[in-house]
Amino acid sequence: MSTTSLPQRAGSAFLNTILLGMLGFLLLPILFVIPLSLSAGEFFIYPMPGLSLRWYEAFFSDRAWISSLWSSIVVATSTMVLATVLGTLAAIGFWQSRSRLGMVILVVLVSPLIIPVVVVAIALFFFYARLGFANSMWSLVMGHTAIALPLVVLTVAATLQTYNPNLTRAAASLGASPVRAFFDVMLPLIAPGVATGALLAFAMSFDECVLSLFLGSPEQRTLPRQLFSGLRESITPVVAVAATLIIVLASALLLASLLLKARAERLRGESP
Amino acid sequence: MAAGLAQAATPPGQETTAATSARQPSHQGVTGAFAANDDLRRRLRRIDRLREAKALALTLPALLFLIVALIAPLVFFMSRAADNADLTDHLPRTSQAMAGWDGDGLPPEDIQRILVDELSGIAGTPGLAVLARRLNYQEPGYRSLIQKTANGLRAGGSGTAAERLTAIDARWAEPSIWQTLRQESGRWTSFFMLAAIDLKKDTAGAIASAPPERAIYQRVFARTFIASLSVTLICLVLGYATAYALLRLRTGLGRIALLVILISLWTSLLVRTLAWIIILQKNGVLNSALMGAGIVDEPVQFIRTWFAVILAMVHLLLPLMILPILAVMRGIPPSYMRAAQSLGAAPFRAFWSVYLPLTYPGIGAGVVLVATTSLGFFITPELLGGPEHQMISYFVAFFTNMSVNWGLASALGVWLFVITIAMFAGVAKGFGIARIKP
Repeated sequence: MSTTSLPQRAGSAFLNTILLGMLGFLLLPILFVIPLSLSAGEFFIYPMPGLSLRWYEAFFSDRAWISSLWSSIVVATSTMVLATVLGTLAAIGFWQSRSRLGMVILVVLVSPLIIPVVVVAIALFFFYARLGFANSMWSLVMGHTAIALPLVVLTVAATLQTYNPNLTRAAASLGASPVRAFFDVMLPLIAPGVATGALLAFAMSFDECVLSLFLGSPEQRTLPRQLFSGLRESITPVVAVAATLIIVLASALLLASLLLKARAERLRGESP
Repeated sequence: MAAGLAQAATPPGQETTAATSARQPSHQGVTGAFAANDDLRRRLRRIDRLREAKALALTLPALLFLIVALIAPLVFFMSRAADNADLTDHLPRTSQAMAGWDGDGLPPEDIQRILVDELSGIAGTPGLAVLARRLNYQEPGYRSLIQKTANGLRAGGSGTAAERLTAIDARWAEPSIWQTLRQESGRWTSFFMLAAIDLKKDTAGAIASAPPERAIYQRVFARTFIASLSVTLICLVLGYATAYALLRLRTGLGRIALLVILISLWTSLLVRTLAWIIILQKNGVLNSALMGAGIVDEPVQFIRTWFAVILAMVHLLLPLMILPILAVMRGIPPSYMRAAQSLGAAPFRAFWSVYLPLTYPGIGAGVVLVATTSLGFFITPELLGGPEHQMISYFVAFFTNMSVNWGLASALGVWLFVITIAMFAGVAKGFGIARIKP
């Protein structure tokens, strides 16, 4: 074709190399973790002396790990429910609002995203310690919910941009109460966005480590907190077991969110 | 619905929606024809206001929650950075009396007597330890001075207040401790905020540098800032190239590439840090590979180096840079580049003056995300770095947990917060991220 085709092909090869390199850089380190959980040896190194499930056995027979897994699930689920309800309501309110005040409220609701997490952690620690419940699970749930709220608000607000307000008006003109119109018409259509927000909130809480260093019950540490002490104190392959479980769960959540996204796109295609 | 009605009701040529007309009262003369119209407009305005109130009411639960769960604690936390209660609560009368002293030489006998009374009053109570610790922050050595003096006064003695104090410790005959007490006699203090950036007030009240052996935080702030900046720049270059390369792929391959980026993003920060420990430790994957290839003879120390900290941080934050840039690139029609080239621009020039500016909002969003997150990094430097790689977050945590200096912890936190907000505002303004749709 033209004279640019050779440089173009060279450029293209160059870009592909970069892409491949970056994808490898992002993915490979994570893949090194999983096999170590199956190591038969005592140490956290390659090559492994053999394969065994002994560290899985160690994980599931250790009360500290099991209870940390359980409290992580409880904290993340509570965070998810609280953040999803509050965040969805707020996003709908913002979507309906036409005043400048609505915009200001949105900025306030999203602000936790840029506050350094260690500042949040210590601020909550001082405050809740004075109120006397820094050592309860609820302090952690409240902290996580505050951080997860922006994720839900932004996701639902983005989904609402594709929602046609005439549908709610049509429901109202047919006699539906606002609550009924919400549950029967609007919610089914924005459900993928709400669910994605909920998943993000759950994943954030399940991963979060800095807040749980300062807040939460010392007897019932969360999984990331337990993993953190495991990494600092004695690294055995049982740490890799915990990490593998977290990877599996995160992948499941990611898969769910992708399916939800595909569903949302399908719904958008169908609605007028 | 109200908006639609209002539009129908507004006279032609007046392009106000109900929402804007609610804000801008019209100043038209009231003729008969407009009177009915005005009544209608008023009613519509009321409906609109009600609608707006209902909308805002929906945001109320979240807002109230955030105030209780985050904003109130943050305000309380920030106030701690200037709180002087540890001193004024335990020496209330002395602090009050100090305000009336001119600070010249030694304070008069009556002020010294008040201090003697108050110190002997709190001797043996937990309050003394708090006070002594607080004064020790001002000047190392004051802890023992205060404790020794309080215990000595309690043991009894005779003479004027000045004589009794000087008999216990000669430092009471020097102006410096008195000037410190005078300077810190207020309910609020700038001491911690200044100390957090290696400054202090000298005896004359002017701001001066702390002695070099105690000046560490400016270096830590600089280190935090440089690390954050390097990570952001590396992520920007790598992320931009990755996003650009990904964009050209066929749909199927593009999806797989995107999936890899998302997996990385969704994998726990702690797990990814653990991965780098496996790779970089002494008998880790990288050292085995290097030794296997005969490049080095003995293991290289990677852990506890800047290399490890920066590498891991780039790995952790790269997805946050790629995704917003990719989202913006997806919205740029390829025809723009072709148009530039057909007008005679060389490929590089077309990229530089057409494509790149169009991606600024994505760059801005990515830079904000990576820069603000990396400024507050805590876990990764703690696990992969040594003492000389710890960032400001580490010291905030340190002064909260290990050495209980909550004033300094709060002050460092406030500075970190201020820097983060400033960085956010600067980048947001520079790149115009407000233009990105959510």
